[in-house]
Amino acid sequence: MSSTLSRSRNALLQPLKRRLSLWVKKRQGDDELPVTLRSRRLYILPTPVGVTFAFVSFAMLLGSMNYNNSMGFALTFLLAATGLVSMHRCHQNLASLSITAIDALPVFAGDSTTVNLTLHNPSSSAKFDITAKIGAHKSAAIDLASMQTATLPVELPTHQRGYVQIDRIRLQTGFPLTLLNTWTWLHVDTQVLVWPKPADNPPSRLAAPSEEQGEQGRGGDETFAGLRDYQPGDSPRLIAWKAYARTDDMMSRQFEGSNASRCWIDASSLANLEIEQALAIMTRWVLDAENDGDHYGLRLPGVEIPPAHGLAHRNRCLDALALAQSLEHTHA
Amino acid sequence: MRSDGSLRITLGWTISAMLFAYAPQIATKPFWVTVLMLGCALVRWLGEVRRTPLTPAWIRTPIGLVCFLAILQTYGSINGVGPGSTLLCVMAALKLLETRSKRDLFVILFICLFLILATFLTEQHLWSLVYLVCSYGLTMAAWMAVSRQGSHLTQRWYVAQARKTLMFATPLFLAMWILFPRVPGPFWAIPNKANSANTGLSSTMSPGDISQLSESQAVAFRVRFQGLPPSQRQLYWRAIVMEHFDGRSWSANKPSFNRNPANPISRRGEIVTYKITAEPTQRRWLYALDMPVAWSDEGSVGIYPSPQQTLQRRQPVDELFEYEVTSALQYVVGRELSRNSRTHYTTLPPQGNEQAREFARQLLQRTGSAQAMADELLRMFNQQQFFYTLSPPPLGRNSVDDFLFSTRSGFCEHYASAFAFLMRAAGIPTRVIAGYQGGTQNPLGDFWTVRQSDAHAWTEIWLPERGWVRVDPTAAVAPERIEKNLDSALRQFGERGSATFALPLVERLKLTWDMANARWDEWVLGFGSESQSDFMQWLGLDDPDWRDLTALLAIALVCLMTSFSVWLWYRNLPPRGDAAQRLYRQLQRRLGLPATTGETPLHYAERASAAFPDDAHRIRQITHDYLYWRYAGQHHRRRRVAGILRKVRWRFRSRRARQRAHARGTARSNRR
Repeated sequence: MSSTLSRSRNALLQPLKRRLSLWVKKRQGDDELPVTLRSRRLYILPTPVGVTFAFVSFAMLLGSMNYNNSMGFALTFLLAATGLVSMHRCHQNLASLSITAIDALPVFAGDSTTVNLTLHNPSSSAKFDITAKIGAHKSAAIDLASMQTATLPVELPTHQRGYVQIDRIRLQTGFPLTLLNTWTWLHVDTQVLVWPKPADNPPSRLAAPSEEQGEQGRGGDETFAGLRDYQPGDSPRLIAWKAYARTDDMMSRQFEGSNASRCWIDASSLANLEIEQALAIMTRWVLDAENDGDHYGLRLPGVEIPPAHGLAHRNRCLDALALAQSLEHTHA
Repeated sequence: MRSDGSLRITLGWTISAMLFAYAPQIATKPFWVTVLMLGCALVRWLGEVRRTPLTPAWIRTPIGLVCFLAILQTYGSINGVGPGSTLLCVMAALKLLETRSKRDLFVILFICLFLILATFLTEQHLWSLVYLVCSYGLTMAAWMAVSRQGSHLTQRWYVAQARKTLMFATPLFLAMWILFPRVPGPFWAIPNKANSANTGLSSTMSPGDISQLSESQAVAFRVRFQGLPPSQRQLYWRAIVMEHFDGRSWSANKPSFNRNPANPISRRGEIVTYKITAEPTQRRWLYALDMPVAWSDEGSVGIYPSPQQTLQRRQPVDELFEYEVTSALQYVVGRELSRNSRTHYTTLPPQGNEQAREFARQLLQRTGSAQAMADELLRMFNQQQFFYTLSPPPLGRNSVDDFLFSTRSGFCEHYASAFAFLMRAAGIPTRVIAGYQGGTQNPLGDFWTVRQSDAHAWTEIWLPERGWVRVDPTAAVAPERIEKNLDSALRQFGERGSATFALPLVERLKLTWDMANARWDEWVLGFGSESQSDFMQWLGLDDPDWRDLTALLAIALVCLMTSFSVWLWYRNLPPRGDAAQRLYRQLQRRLGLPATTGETPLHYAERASAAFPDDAHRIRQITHDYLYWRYAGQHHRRRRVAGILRKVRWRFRSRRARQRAHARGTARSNRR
């Protein structure tokens, strides 16, 4: 019963909400980090508790008038004053806060990504009870002392691979008494990449036809191939510390097995499968290969990542899998 | 169910707020309500601590039903303040049992607010200010705790926030208190407070009634005299005139409201004007000194004189009532008495008290006149073995006979009753007056307080040519009662009064408390539309009405809220760095010599001393102190830095002086 009611209410409110959000975006424009909240972009409305509070105060006013009760008037006025004061405090609690960074790490579809908002309180008073909301997903509340910087994590569940576009983020506070809610909309261009969900029971990687050679020659008889720019995820053992000391540039040493022992993870080997299924299997293979310490390359239509190893390489492969459009070209 | 421990703190605050809000009503509510409140609080609290499930609905529902029936049983209805607030208590207690979400907790806190209001509807004495502040603070702390449920804030934080909320709200509250137009109610129901127990006079008087009253220290009314107050023995505050006697009790007529009383008072000699603030009695009569000749007649509640020279209102006095009266201390009233009235004022029950009747007849024969008979009776009370006591022996069916001829001890009502009976038995028109006699002057506040213990009864007899004349038989038995007060009168008869404090300090404290209460009544409880128009006139607005008040209130609120938001904005500015650094920068500004990037204070000091050799010592001293202040946390050096800096500032107060000093320094170093 209540669900039907809320559904029909949603149906009524949804277009209104959409238009409102468009208006807000048009009014504020796009945001560039860092964003400092000025009162122009703060919105404030009473919460249901606040509305009840107002009704209760009004009822008490009528009661006090009826009984001509001085202390009743005192209580009523105290409550009314509290409401007015908390309106200002609520508004000021969000004003002048600054958002310095918004970032999120990629995750596998089905997992939750964490969108981290870095907030800084540049004012001399503390800020309390600040939460962020993306869609229907709400963060926990944090408090910020004067001059404090903190991150506000919002857990965001993911369903599909590819980019998740975050249209807008709502930053809000109910401080001090949750009678009112002050909020602001952040329109910062934020994308989170979602990797395909790895398949649970993939066909054996070794059995795949793209396997060119056996697994020998890893480790000992690798020969130094050259230096390349350091990438996050490279093993510290690979960092050319001597070169670093000389040039201040962080470099990674690259090795090439004399007996080039690499495997290829090739989309063409799974051409008979549906695309998502194939990508899931390949994702699993990438993870397995990385775990096993193999050197692996990835071939997708239009993309070829030469065999390598390491977290950066793995992420590169996963990114490619996340963004793969089709597997058609394989046959060409 | 939530039981992650975060609810426990919130629940603790909510339960405390609820019980505190309820506390003043323990005495007036049925006992089972208190038991229910405490029981539910305990059950819920233990349930939360032990993490047991909530009380199921099949237990809660019957309890609620039983409570509802119990309320109906106790009060007879659910309308009115008493049953309404009891219902609220029950709702809060039962709601507590099923509390798990924020919403439930807020519901309880809203009920708390209503409970506070309900308390004020029955009690508004001075202590209720303390109650208001504490219960409001506690509720707001609980409110804060519920709002921030699950956060790891300390208890002290909630208290601090509640204090802040109160502090910020106070200016707005005061503006609303003073300027919100007080429209006199009531709008819907005339508040029915008749059932609330009030001590005070009643319209009938039986032996023992007033002596019972005299044990109460409750305030009946307060008086402020214009000019010199009359002497204590003249302070007869008449309230009720009793004309009927049924053999045991005296009772008053039904009040009649007539603008022009039958018996006008012609005054002789001095008059006295005074203002009375009467405590609520739920009765119609008012108090006035013998005899009222003029009274304030403003506002919606008119004051009406009765044919018996008392003052009364059409509506019961259900709240503090202030009025002004002028009385004539010497007067002639009712010189003409119609035959009907004469019969009316000499009527006695046909039978009973035969001995007294006989005695009265004989006495009149012996003395000859009404005046002489009254004097003889008073002499008898004074010289024979009559006793003045708070606890007289009980009287039988012929109460006057018993009193006059066997027990011979009683309180003022015994003497007044017996005297009036004897006079009537002798055919002399007589009536009994109930009211108060005397009062205590409070030297701190220059007002008089009349308490229930000052309750008194006396008589008036009608004499040809002189009209109604006051005769107080008690004055004959115990003159101290009239000259001083009840206590000294009782002490003379070997009885200790109720007020046993004789210490000057305690006496002084009592007077101070009394004065604080009087001020409270006057300024807070008595604050209404009249005080508001006085205030507006003081501001210079003539003939103000509620529109002016509203406009002024709006202006005041806007001003206050703007200044509050400016203050908040100021507090939102970035901090200005630490004080030490600020003072050190000031030095650089004063010298007109900014420090270069990366220059240490010591390096700067060397450079600055070279540039300003006259001040080299000061500059080094400041730098030294600054470093100790900044890096060793020696905050006491702040004052020294500021002191030296002031001297530096003085020397270089103008740009020219600075340049001159600089030039001198350069010249000197060149010479060197």
